[in-house]
Amino acid sequence: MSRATFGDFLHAAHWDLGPPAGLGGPYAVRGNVEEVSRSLLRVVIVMNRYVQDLTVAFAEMPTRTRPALSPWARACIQAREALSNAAGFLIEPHGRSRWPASQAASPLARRLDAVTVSLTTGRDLLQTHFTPGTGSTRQHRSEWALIITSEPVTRALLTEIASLSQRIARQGADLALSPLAGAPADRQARHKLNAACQWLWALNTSVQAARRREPVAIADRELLAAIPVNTLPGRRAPGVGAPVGALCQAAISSAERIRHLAWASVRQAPWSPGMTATSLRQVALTSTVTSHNCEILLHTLAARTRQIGLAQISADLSAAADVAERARSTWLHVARQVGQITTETRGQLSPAAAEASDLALWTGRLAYADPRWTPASGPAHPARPPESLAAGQQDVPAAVATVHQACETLALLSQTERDQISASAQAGRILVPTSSLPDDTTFPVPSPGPHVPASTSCWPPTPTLPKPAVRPRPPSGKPRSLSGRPARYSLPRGRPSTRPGLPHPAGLWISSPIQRFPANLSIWPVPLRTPSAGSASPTPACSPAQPTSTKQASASSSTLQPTPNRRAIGQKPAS
Amino acid sequence: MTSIAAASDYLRQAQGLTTVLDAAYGAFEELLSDLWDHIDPDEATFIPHLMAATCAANGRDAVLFAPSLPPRRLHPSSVPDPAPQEGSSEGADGALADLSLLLASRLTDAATRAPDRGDRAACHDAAGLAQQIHDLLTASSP
Repeated sequence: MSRATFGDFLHAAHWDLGPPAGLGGPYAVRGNVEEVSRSLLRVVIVMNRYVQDLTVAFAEMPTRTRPALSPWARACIQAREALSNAAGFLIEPHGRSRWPASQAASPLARRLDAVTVSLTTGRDLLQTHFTPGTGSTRQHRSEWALIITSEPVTRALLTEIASLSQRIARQGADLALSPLAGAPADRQARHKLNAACQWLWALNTSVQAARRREPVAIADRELLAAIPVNTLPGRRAPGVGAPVGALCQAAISSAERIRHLAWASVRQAPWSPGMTATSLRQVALTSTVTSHNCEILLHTLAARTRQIGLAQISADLSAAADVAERARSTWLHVARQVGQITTETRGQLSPAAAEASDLALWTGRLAYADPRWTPASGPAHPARPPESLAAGQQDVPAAVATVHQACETLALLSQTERDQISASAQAGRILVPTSSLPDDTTFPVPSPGPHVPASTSCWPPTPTLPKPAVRPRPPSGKPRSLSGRPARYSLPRGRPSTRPGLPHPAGLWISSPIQRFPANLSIWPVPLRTPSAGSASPTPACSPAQPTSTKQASASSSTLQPTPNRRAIGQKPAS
Repeated sequence: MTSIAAASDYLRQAQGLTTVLDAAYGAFEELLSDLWDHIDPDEATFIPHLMAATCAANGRDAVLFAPSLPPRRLHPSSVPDPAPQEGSSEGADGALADLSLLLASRLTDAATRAPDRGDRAACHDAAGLAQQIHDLLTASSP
């Protein structure tokens, strides 16, 4: 099921206005002036909110590109003034409700009420892409927010408002200027209605003047109409042997779902349960696979376009394939790195990570000839023949759009994952293995003593490693063991885990800021363990000030015994 | 003796939950390391190997959270890492598949015997991941 778009409500508003009521019709058909005025006021108020949003959009533009004196900026300001003036003629001084309990009797008033509903709903749809920021600002909630606030789309929106204003003004003025015999003596009301309609004409005139100087492209109006409600798109799951078109749709739908979920994840707190090493690995794995699939697809498309004589497009696609290969290499490196870290919780997949598997699957089904292909499939899967991917020139855009959507999604994922890792590291949730430290790294570790209470830590504040002592870990090879220690994990530098009761891995705890992992590790000592309930010896049995080298720590490690209460381990680093 | 063989021997001979967990942890580390050595984007086994490596990391983490895992390695590996040998991919895959199957077996057994619920869950999860590694490696054999 497709999502509702802004165009649905915009078209509904135009449709609601319908043909004008006949001037020669009976009074009941043409409408009661006061009733129409109230309905018109509601429309004007909604339109004014749109224009206020557009003013915000202009304000959000960078100063250097803000068209403060451009024709459209002037039109926007004039439109706002026109709507305020129109409302001024329509507001009743004695404070009657603008929303009567019963439906309007006049056809024109009913149509205007319907327009109000359509425009209000359409604006609500646009607002789903924002959250209130500080002051009058708005924060983006989706990729569409950038489009909504873009200059071409704001122009298109103002054009649509002007178009509606023109039609409403014509119908309202017709009613105001054509009194009927037998109608109530409403001369003043007609005068006000006519004045309000004149201001709507003025609005349209301002916008038309801007359009003449800087026309609005049809594509921009189409883009405005295509803005969807910010909700999770439906999942598509074509069966085995689905045609290329269905696979393209499934991949695009999956890409949109991932982006929606990734945007949502940005707003989640760093202690979100979905932010686990399992999720990070899943995203890195599936993104590597998707990049790989995109590379294959682009090579296939390059071959197909070359076959049908589109040499330039073929060259561009080949270049894009090379970029996809680099993206795959980078994701592969990420996959390797996230294999070396863990989090204080594990197992749970974030929604975006779970959805990322679908994108890998659908792009793979497009890329490979085997209709049953899955990422777990073994070797010897030839790529889909070029003529199968795009039978003719008209089929190329859909396949290219699919790859574009997939790559766009991977770009967003890389950004949101990085942000989440940084936030989680700040929250003390990223743990790194001590084995990832260089052998000659000097860092403080607890010396003998099974029980070191957190409240009486013996470790000094963060000793920053001298740079020569730290070298990047090679990108391949085994995690190094520190003098026979197993690879264990450490709390990151900074704040401790703030979620009491979470289990922590056993072993040696050292912290490192993820920002510098793994190339330039700095470390932060934390108590090895806290005493279990009723445990004796609150006195740390370690040197209080001097960092101990890993070699020294290794020598003393045999005295470190398992503690019966590991859940308290490392929950609070020394400060 | 290669590190994989040493890890297999240690795991096979491990007695008691603590030792099994210690051996399983080391085995997952060996698997992870060796799988990464064999990941080659130009090979047909690229994606299965990558998935297996991800499973190995997840399996290692599962064991890592077992309450009975000793805080220090009981049996530090003394075998130097051999340099990756060219042309031995299939043989290496076989050794890795055997080790993962052994891991699955030992961890499944440990899951049924462990008195602690946390240990049982960790062993169960890790056994499932070891089985996945085995399936991926055997499916990826040409």
